[in-house]
Amino acid sequence: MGIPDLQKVKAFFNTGKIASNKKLLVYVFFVGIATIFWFLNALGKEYTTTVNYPVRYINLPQNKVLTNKLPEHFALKVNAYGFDLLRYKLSSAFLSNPFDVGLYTNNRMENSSLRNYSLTTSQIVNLFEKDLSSSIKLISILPDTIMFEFSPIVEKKVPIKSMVSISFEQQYMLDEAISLEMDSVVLKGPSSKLDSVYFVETERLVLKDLNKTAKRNVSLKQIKGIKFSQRKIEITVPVEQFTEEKMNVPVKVSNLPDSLLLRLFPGDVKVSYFVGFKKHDKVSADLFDIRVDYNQTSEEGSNKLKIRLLSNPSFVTNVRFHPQEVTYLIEKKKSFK
Amino acid sequence: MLKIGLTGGIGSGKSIVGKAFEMMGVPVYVADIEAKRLMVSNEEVRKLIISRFGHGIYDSNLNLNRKLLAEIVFNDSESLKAINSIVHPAVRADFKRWSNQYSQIAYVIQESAILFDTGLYRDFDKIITVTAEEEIRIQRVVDRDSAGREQIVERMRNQLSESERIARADFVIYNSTELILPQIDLIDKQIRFLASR
Repeated sequence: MGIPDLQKVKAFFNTGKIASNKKLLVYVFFVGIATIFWFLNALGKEYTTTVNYPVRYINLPQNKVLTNKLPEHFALKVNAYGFDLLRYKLSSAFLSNPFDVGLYTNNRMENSSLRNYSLTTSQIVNLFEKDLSSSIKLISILPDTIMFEFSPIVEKKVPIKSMVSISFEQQYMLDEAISLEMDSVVLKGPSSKLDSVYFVETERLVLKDLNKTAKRNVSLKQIKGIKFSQRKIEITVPVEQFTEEKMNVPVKVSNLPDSLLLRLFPGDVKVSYFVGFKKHDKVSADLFDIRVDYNQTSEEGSNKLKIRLLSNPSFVTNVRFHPQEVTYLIEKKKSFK
Repeated sequence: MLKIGLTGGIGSGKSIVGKAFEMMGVPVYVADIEAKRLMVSNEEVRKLIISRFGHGIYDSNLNLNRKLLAEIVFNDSESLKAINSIVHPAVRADFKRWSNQYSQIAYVIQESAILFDTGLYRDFDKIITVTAEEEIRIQRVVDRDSAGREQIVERMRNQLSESERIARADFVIYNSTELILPQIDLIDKQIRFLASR
């Protein structure tokens, strides 16, 4: 209908044409009254009909896990007066009704070792009827059989994988590896599902511009149908401000006979390393053990010796040194007798 | 999420740079280590290696006889091509799977010595190359692998030249006697900027 039509309707009401057409008003009134009486009369009659009955299952066996999907609605064939059917439909239009599995099966599923169980709904019509309005007679329930498929519950310990995305403020870095409050979690669920679970991931944790150690509680990614021994764990991201430094470290000599002197060119090496700001004052040349081995002088047949880094302070990382070999000169010590 | 290739010639110090990126929270996939793992753990790869090199290449515990394999490929370029054609696609697929888990972060790195040599560089958004003076690189490998100098020089000759690698890279880290952290820090910032666009 276009705008001109609307205007005509508006004009019709404004001009009081309805008021003048008394015959129409009377006709509409009596049609309304007749409809109400017809409706009341209809509700007073008895009907056999099928109603939709939404269900939610409660009191399932605790020692097994259901693996199949159960019907969410039943079709109930009922006999009742129209008033009762209307009342039922209005009251249950948006609610699902509890279906007590334990009650209707007399807890046989829980006590049985069988994995599959079928419940014939005709067996429970009488029990089921009690849950309906007393004025509704239940004739039958569809589906006629409800199949329950179970899997035994097993436990499995799997490692936790942290999903952490981090970025740091300038010169801040990971001091140590990211650590978890615990490295694994115990899962409980049907073996059919647990067989293919090898690890559990944390929810993604995004930490930006870190400049100090961060501790966060992170949820573990849940897997449908599997219970977790815990839902959250604490993740620690150890952060330290790092710098890269260089230091000259004298080269020591191993296995040098007392009677000899070994002159090295150069006598020290440049060592570079990463160190946390808080500890950089503690680094000194004597904490690095950088050596050449006198015993290699004859083996190599050249005037060069390989330099080896035997140890360094535990709080420095990424240690490099240069050069990696030195030229040597052997001298006899002068004896002063 | 950007995929960054980290490459460099033998002895350039790729690993130490990779470790530094890891300390900055960047996930690093070391292709060499993962290739070794796939050759043992990936059934498909194992089957292909056995079909090419025979059952003797694995022992009864499915451990790869690396010495035997190295001898075979060292003396036969066709065998080298064959093993590469088995392992490289597997590493490529594995890296793809691995990087998928980091889809929400700025970038991940694959460390590989042969990105340019194999054409794998096309899989990456940017390439970082690590370089150092030749003499320093030789000394590092002599010290690390206890290998002869001549042998190392020969291996270097078979690799892409440093100048070529530098020309083709987007970022260069100089790792002779320079400090590497300031260089890495700068590259990290630039890559994060690119990833945010």
